[in-house]
Amino acid sequence: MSQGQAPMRELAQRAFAGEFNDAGYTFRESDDDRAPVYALLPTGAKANRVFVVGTLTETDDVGSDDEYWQGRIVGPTGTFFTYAGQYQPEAAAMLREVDPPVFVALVGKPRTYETDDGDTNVSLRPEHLTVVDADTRNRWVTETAKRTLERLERFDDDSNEYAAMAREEYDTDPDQYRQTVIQALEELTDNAETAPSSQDQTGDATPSTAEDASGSATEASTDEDNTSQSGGDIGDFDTTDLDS
Amino acid sequence: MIEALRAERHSFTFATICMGFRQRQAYRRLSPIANETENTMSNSDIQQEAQDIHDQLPESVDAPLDDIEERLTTLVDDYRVPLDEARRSVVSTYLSDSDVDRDEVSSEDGNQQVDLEEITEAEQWVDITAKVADLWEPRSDSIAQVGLLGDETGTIKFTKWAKSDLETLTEGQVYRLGNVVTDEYQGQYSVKLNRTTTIEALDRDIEVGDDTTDAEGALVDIQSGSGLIKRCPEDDCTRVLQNGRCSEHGEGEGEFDLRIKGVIDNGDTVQEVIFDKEATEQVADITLSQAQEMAMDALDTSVVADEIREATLGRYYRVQGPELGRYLLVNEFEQLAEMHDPEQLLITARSI
Repeated sequence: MSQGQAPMRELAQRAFAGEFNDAGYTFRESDDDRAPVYALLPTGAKANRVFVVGTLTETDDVGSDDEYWQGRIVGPTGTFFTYAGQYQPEAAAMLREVDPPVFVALVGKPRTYETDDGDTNVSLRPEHLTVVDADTRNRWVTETAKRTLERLERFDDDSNEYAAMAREEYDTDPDQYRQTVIQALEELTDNAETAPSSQDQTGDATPSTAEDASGSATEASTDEDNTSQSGGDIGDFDTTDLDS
Repeated sequence: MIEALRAERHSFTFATICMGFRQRQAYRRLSPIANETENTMSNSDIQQEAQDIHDQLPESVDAPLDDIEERLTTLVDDYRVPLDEARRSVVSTYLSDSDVDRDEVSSEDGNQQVDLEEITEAEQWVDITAKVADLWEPRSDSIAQVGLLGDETGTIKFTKWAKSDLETLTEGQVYRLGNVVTDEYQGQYSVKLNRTTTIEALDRDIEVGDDTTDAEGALVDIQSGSGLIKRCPEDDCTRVLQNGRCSEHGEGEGEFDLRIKGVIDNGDTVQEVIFDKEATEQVADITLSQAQEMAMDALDTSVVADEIREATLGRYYRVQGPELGRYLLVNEFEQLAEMHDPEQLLITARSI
């Protein structure tokens, strides 16, 4: 991690699930074995680390021999999936012991893996996973809206190399992520008085073949028209891409 | 520009005479500048320098202006010595000839009067005008007074040695302090008062400036070295013990302390921060003695860091304090409960 000249700590990006789950293209910026792996956010930014706050609705030990915990973290625009095994003992212990639903904050690394039918799924490998409160969750939603809008505003800059890369690698229209932001914000302003509850029990658990396939060059999944068609309500998110 | 260079030379001329190796260090540091001045050297530069030296030497030293200029010219023109080195050499010659106490010379007006924020180098002899903003408890008998000095540009720690036998400074009083030495430890600067320091109480007030910065964002990491730690108990040593050892003083019992080395990240910028004991106790709602008990029960200090992580990670904070190297030292903090304005963001989102 720390080499001779103390590399800069990687920023924790903010993205809604609607965007993050589309970030199936990963890359490195140098040939060094230890060079960080980045997921490419479709709004044009590299993400080696992300910070996510949402409602942990369900935990599941999907491991065969060893424990391998899956957590579903629901945000206003979709669901993040996180996996914690023996190398993330603190997060694994937390997922084992917690009693959902609770608000959680997760700092983690994007990981991609390819499903049997060739789709690329994006998940989070936790560095830290803690229980937080509704204020923290709401602040995260507005902060993530803000950062996403900033990325969208820079998307057409000529000097924006990651936007150019996103145009190259993804078929998605960045405007759908603007819709995602609007959806997330409306959920906040519409339900200002009621903290979002978490009655999510739709969708089944994702496949248990969640081997950490970090760094493997994955082809960007063809877009499945799977984002931002749901309404703003929690519980109405769409996870077809990950549940296939 | 020339003035600035000259002023810089002034500020360590005498301090650096005393020890040969320091002289070489100073030379290395200045050599690019010296070479530059060398190329554009004119007689008037040398005359000016000679005049400066003449003005600065005590009356008791027999040093005619012509003589000084001649020595300078020889060194600079004939021996290609950079001007600042030549100056040092000439001053040194006169002083050793005349038996004058060097400290006496340096406490003349040879130093540069500096603002506290300008102190960015160790081992400089400077004059400052500052208010005693805070007095702390000395940790050792060898220290007469220790605390914080402040001027309009910021604050700096000061140490006054017992053996220097100086008058006692009063909190809230503004002083002109002549001939103090700067020091640096882990990126943080301080000044030391010494036997030759002049202390003059001034009849005016100073609005002590704010050198703090702030950061706002989520606490996304708590690094190793956080939680319950042990520090070296030696005087004036605050190093953290690694496996019961101080890198300077070896094995030691150590004194317990609490801290958080963390990372505040707002999705745009990353700021490393340090919460000291008081701030850690507040932010994690744990006292040092509770932490010690907890560690004792578990026979493991790491449970404290775990507890702190659980209580703080992923929350949003606004922190404020001075910067020390790459860290912001948290003096004040608050947990952020409010959102960014969603209505405003909606307007932006719809207008893109």
